[in-house]
Amino acid sequence: MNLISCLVILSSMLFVGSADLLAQEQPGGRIEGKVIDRTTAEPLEGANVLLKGTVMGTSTNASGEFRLRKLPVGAFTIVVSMVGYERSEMRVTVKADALAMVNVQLRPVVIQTEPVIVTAGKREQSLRDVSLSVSVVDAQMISMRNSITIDEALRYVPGVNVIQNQVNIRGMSGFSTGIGSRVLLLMDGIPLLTGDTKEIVWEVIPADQVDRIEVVKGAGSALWGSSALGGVVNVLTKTPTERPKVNLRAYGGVYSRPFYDEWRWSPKRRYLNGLSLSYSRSIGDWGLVFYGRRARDDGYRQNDFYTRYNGYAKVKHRFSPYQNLTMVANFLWQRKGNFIWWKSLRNALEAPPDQDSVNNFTRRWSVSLLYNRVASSDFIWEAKLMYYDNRFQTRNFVGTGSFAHAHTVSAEVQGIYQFRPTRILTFGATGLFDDINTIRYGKHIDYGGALYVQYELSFADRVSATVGVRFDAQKVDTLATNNQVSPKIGLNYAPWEGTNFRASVGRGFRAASLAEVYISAIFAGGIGVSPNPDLRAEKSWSFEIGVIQSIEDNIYVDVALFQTEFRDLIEGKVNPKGADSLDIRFENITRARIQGGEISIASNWIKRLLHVEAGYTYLWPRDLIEDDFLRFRSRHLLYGSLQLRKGFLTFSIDGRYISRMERIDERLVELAPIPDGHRRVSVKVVDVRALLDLKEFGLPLRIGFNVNNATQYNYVELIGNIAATRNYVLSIDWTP
Amino acid sequence: MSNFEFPRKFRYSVIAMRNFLLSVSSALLFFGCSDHGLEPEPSVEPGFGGVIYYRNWPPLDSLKDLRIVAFRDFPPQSIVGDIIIGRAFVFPKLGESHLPFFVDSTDYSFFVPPGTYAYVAVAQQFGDSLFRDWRAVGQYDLDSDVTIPSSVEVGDNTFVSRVNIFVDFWNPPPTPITP
Repeated sequence: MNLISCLVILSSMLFVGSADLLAQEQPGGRIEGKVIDRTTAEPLEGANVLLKGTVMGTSTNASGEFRLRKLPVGAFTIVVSMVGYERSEMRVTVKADALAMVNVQLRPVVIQTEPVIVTAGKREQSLRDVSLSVSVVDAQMISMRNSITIDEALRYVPGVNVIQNQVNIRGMSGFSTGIGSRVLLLMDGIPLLTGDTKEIVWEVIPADQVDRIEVVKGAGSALWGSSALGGVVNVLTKTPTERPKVNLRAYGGVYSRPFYDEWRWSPKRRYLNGLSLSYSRSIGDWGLVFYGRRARDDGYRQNDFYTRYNGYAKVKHRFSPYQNLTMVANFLWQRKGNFIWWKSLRNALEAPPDQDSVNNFTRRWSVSLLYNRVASSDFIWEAKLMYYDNRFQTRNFVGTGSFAHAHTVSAEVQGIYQFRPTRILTFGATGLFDDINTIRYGKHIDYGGALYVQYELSFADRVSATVGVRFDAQKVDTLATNNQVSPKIGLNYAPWEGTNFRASVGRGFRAASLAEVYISAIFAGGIGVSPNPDLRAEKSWSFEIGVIQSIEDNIYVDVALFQTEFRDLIEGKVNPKGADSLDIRFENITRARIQGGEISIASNWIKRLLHVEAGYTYLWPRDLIEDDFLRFRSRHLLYGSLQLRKGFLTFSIDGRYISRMERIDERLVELAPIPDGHRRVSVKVVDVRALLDLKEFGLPLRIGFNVNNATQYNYVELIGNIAATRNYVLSIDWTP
Repeated sequence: MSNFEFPRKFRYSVIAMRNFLLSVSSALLFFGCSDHGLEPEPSVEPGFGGVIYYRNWPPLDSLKDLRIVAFRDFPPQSIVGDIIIGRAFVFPKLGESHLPFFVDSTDYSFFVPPGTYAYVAVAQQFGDSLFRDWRAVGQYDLDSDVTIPSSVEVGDNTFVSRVNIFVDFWNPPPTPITP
């Protein structure tokens, strides 16, 4: 019997088991209660309430109330947590057919040391309890930074370096020239990569509707499959509010004139602006969120404008306190200039003649369904289904260009079963189907499925161990099936209060995208790109040890040492073809190793008025084939953030230093050619912002003012690509 | 709106902010306000230059003039015609003194509009007629095929160096120049 058969039988048995469990809806004890802010006595909406060591949990409504029913008899520890508050735990005894009342007061804290996360283990866990490095960006930080797209919100996450719009987690991605992502993007736990190029399109996610972003550092394919080679970014959207809530948000900004006269390419000021409206409420068992936005940016560079429309809807139906169905729909229409690289460093904000008239038109939309059911006190299962449609077109003024249309369907069924107080089994099955039709790649399909299982074991409330494995099978057209087995092991040890040690080993892989396998094109200058049906998946092994230490609730330190080994990394290989032409093919040519260390610190000063955060990551990325520094990586990443909150005013300053990329793709510079393409410097950027929250004066207004790149520092994130010059943005949020 | 206390709270906040801004200023200095990263390359007049090497000089009575001519096209139509219509440029400019005679070599810097120059030649006026008596005595060529000269690409703000030309008055290249 082969491995696939075993996994199918195991999966079937688990689902049969789950059906039995669903039938066990017997009466039990109840816990009800209310969660309030200790300092203001205001009820807290959205607080997480978990029964420690079980899969049972819920969140509070607008009145701060929660209810847990059908609980088994016994003594439990109830854990209440919420972003911006200190976690609270208390013992509760549940008796048969009896109600236990629990009232919880949460103390506000500026440093959030123990947010509840869902990405590391595919279930709700405290950040302290996982065996991987995870960073969380919450909605407040996204709003404070006036992040228009999600990738902007990730620029200050320790260990993360955003190159153009590709996310590098601890240097694992580099830059893959728009084809394939080595980081998996999830939206509410569902993969959101385009069907043809398997890349991330950040613009499709409305940043205003994000509740938090979880960044898992290190290979995560044991749970998430392909593309989780270098980490996972999970964007979790806001849930519908209990009371009707309208939010009107407007922002407007202007770019400074270029610092050097030589770079002044336009006589006009370059502006950016946006307007969005959202409405959220609950009616009975129905929760609704509707959102629309128009955004426009003239661009600080020639042919770098965009006009963008976003639509978003979320409808949640609660069949019972333990069963709900959520539908999320997402829409993006965008017209965008196509600035790829500069004319030369002397004309750094101007596009070369062959790029200055090219426009990209994109229309992308997705619909997803999420069904969640708490079947019993020890079993939860959920099902997810998503359809993602991507249409992309490039046009120049004479109407020629390329076209791509990709359909993607993904599905997942997952169960979480706690068969003893200290044993949790997470298991599931996924499926994926892509159908593409493009000028450059032709018509193709790929499809695949996966089975995964994870077993968590804890001892004496101090040690927990996780073992998991996932089997993926993917088939592209009639090519041979690509099978991958991705195991992982994790360990977490809390020797005393405030300290958690962690260690993990995990495998990652990224299956080659249809674009990499089938691309076929001829470009100017005799440069051709040819297909490679023999392309294999990229693989990685990540190792990490780390420790979290909090000192009272004033200082929080996270230290990690890590190493990742890569095999079969895919790169474009240049082959001479005749005297005057070149042929580029994607091939598995590079082996690499990244070693490094990371430290992040958060602290409060001056009676909690001043909040300081800093993160430093040292990377040693080596190309083992060329025995040289790995391309598109920096050795040092340093982030710092100061925030002062006094009354209705908040001021903050963020700084980031990223050392100069030691190597880039010199072949691209020569072949394109990109004039002055080798010119690059370290990144030294300072962003300053102020926020006025006038709610306490009875005015439903929040006014923000951002100065991005305040010192007018000129740098490139990618070859020949000056990053945004200084810009001033004023934003107004009206929430009556 | 009855408990509106904007001015008092605002005062307290502003005092705190003042202190904070001092920290901010220090941080800004730390990151280096004076460092603005990349800067444009200094302005460079576009053109090309190099060395002309001479052999077998002819007698002075057949050396009426000697100049470098950069043609946009190859083969050129005519020296005079191409210069008049802006398809060719001459160095030294007409009206200025010719290239020096009877030297082993001479350095030159020829400033021209950006673009591709398909044919760069040293042209000798061997007779009295300014319009008829011209021949090419050397050309910029990177290979042994003298029938097709090498072109010179002059980009915006770039000066191409090492455009060296070998002149042998006894063995001139095939002369595609028609006066």
